[in-house]
Amino acid sequence: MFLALLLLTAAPASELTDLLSAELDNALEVFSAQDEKPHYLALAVTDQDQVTVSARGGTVGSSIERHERVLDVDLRVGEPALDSTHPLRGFSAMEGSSRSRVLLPAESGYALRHAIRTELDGQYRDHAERIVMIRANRSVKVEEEDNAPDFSPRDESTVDELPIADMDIDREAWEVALSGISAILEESEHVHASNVQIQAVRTAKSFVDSEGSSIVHGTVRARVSMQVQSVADDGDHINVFVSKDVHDPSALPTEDVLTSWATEAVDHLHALRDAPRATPYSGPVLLTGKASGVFFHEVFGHRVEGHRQKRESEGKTFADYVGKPILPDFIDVFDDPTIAHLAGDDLNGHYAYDDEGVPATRAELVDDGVFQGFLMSRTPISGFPDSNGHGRRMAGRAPVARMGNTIVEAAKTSTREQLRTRLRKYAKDQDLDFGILVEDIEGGFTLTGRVMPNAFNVRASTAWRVFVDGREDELIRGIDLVGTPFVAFSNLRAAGEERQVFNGHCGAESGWVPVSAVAPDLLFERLEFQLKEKGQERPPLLDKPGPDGSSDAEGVAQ
Amino acid sequence: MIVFLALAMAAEPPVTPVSAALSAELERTSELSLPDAPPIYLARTHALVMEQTNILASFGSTVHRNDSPFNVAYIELRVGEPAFDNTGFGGWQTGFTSASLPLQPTEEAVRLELWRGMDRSYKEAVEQYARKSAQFTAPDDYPGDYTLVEPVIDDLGTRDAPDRDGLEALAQRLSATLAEPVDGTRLVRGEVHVGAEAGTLWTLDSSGTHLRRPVAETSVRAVLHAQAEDGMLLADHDYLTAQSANALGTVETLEMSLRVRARRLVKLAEAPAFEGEYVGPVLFEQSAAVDLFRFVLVPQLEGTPDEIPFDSFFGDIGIRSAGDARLGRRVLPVGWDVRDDPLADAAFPGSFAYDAEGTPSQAVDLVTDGIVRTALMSRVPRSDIPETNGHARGALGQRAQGRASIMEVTAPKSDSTRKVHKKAMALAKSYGHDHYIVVRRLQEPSARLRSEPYAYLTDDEAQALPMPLAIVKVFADGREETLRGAQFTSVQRYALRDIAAVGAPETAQYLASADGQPVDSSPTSGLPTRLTAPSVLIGELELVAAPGDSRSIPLLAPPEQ
Repeated sequence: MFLALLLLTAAPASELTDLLSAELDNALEVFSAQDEKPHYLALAVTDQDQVTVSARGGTVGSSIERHERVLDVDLRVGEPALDSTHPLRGFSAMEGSSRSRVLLPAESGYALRHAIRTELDGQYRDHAERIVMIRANRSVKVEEEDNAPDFSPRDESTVDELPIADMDIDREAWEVALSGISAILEESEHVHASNVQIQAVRTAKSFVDSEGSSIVHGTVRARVSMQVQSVADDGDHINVFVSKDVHDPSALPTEDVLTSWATEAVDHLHALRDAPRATPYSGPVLLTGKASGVFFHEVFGHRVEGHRQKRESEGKTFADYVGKPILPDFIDVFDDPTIAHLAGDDLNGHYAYDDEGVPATRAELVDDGVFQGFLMSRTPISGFPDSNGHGRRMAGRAPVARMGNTIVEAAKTSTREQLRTRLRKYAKDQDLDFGILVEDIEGGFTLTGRVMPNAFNVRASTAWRVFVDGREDELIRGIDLVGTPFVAFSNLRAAGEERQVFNGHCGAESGWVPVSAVAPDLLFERLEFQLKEKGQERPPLLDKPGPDGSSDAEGVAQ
Repeated sequence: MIVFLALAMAAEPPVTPVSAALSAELERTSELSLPDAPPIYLARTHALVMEQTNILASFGSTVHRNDSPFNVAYIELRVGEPAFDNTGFGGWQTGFTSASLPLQPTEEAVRLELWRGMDRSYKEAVEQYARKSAQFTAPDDYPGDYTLVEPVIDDLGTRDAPDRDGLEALAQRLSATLAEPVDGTRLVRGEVHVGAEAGTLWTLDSSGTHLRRPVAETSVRAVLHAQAEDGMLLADHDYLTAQSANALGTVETLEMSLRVRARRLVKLAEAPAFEGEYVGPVLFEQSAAVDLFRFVLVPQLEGTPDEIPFDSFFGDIGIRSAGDARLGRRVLPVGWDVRDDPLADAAFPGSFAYDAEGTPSQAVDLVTDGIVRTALMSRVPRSDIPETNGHARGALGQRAQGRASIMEVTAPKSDSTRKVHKKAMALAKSYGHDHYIVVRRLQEPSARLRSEPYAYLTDDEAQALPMPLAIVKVFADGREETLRGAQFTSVQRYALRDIAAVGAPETAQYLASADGQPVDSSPTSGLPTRLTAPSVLIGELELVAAPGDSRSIPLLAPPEQ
């Protein structure tokens, strides 16, 4: 069962892009003869091969390989200055697209062309209707805050075909290995649920547009993850999650490494079960590298996504801060999808071209603490007419500006011990017994609109009380880091020497995209924690069935 | 008692890791207790351990294929007593849950999943019981919530995995016929969904029931769309189901059937559109005759009582409008009978020896002499039908409903074609018409869905009798004129009392929704049902025009082959 997953049934990339180009030309010719004319059209096909192997209860939970081909049509009717993608306001904003995800066959025959034409027809009809509504909406409503055009045409086109690595996964070997790891996880009576999984995905993207671009590129990504869960006696859901993302599946951690992870994960689960629930807190906080990365992703990254500056419903936190300081002068922030590896890790947010066919480029966001600009797709905003290659989407969604590799650098750094010393000092100055060190997080979210508070929530999974009197640190649970961006940034005081990588997937309007956040330890003089929601269920009423609860049955059978 | 003794001698299921785990954790449910909580009086688990394949092919090419095994345990815990328990009350978290089982279901792994699931089910059941107790006072004539029956033990075996590559080839080949032009014109949608399930269904309960049953279903569903020049969409479908692919018929036969259907549909798109309205006699022939009884009669015979509405934040939850099976009501003319027998054809996938609750199935005479005598029942009682008749079907892990399986509607006598035509014409003249209407095929509601090409709804989504695919005007001299684009207006159940003439019997199978919700793309995720009913002339129905949407006319010409 050693599988080399290639697109064996799919047409060669060049054949596919030729087909897409022919369909694009045909559609443009037909649509251009209509009253409402398109000014831009792009077709993209995403081929995704996925292998997932998971284990739970000491046995194989699932073992799946799957291929999927998805079509995306980006059609813009009208003019670049005002086109059918322009946001509607008021009641008309309820008008949504009814288009759904379009799966395509792998073979380049009649069925493929028919599906493409059906979708093109539907998209044209939707956009031709929408531009009429947009014009009326614009005349009825007040002038918009941002009058930038809706699209930035490119002077040059790109023709490129990049090699995409094969994806070799020995499923059978992983089934055996993960089952063994799973058995270790389940040994503890306090592990109420567990899962260990590898997932490898080979993505090939074929893109053509009406500007003459024709691009084939893609990625291979693999992740191993391990999760153990428990319910504490007070009902709190305890969750320990560890993962590793790589670009080459052969670089996934070995069985020995995973075995040690399993032991550590269960030990940590026990420690968290025994740890006290913390109380709401305002005081000094030290975020270690991974937590810092997620902090910047939530607090800063989503607020500098360009398309948000164009929507009247958005908070536009930093729109008026271009050229002004928003962070201490020792901090730089940029987003650079061209970086494949950093700080010893492969970066999830690496790509060569974005989903609008624009080469990925480094976007300078903060330089010496001064805000520089936004992550840009091909939807311009005032003062930022061009894309910087950050138009991204999950297949089946419309692209918007998204993060790739968000990287925080500090010109002035301190050792971890120096940061801990300052943490204690700040706590003492604030008449507190302790400061809080956040070692790990399990994600977060942020609200960027105007109706709800413009706040963030970074979900701490491992946090410690660091006592002023030098006592041993105390593990705590049950709190989340919350706040608002300006206040949080104004309390940033120092940064650490070493950067850590957070690899994950970020969900927003254009779906889930792989991202990385890289940052050093960051020390804040004051941040706030609120109570995390707490589970209310009692732990299981009966003892966990153990391996000794066997019967005469043997093996695996139906 | 005779039945029970016979079953007691039936084969005993083998001990496998799955059955051992189910038995062990079922036994432990007796240890589940919370302070002041009502006791568990019945615990039931089902475990589906099966191979599953779903394939979608469009115009000759595979679009989607999913070969994931489907291993799931369903847990049903009832607390209190049969007279009043945690079920039959709206809302969710009712005590019925499911747990995904691993691909390789070892006893230890299955027990872990059941342990978690039983714990969750029990806590939910206790809370649901309390909610129901607080919000609902049972009236004096309350029939209770459940009936206990004698346990059964039987082993009906298992089934091996289907030939998945063969099924994909079948889907491709059948859908390729839909790409063939008909006199230069093509369908605008031509899909074939093939689904197969094969494996084992275990059912064990705390009363001692222990069943192993095979799961064997291979189904083909074709969806065909043609579009008229005025934009009108015409949707047709084909649904075939059997226990294996071989039993579906030869590929050549299936291809021929689809070709004929495609040709008829394309030609129909060229027919004139129906305009205005029609009030008068309508003759239902071929599959439309079966569909008339399916949509109008069958819901009146499915007798499981509705859930009691649950007073929630979102308003009352749990109200159902279907069902409405009332005994003693005339639903058909004098002399008509309706019988449902799940064992009438053991080779049909909708056939079952034991229903979803493990009750032995029974043939039931639902209607005699035109009057409803009993209804299709699960173990949920009603005051006038206190016992099950072995017709519990539906999604496992949910409150099972009495549902149809293999049903036959019979008339006391039938008329010759000539006589039916004569009666229809005479009736038409009384309305001042020079013709009457014949409907031979209805449009499957789910097959009309366009915006979501990989999903379809089932019969339950139909608000009334679905649109006819075509209507045929039949004149006195026998001349026929085919029209498209008509729909019925509010067909009431009383229409079946107004049968003016009866023709030859027709048989068709359809996929009923298992849980009242739209099913996904799998043609096996529903309840295969077979219905036999005669062609009938209804004395009066109303038809109005349903014009097409000219905006939906494609701008792009279909590709060359």
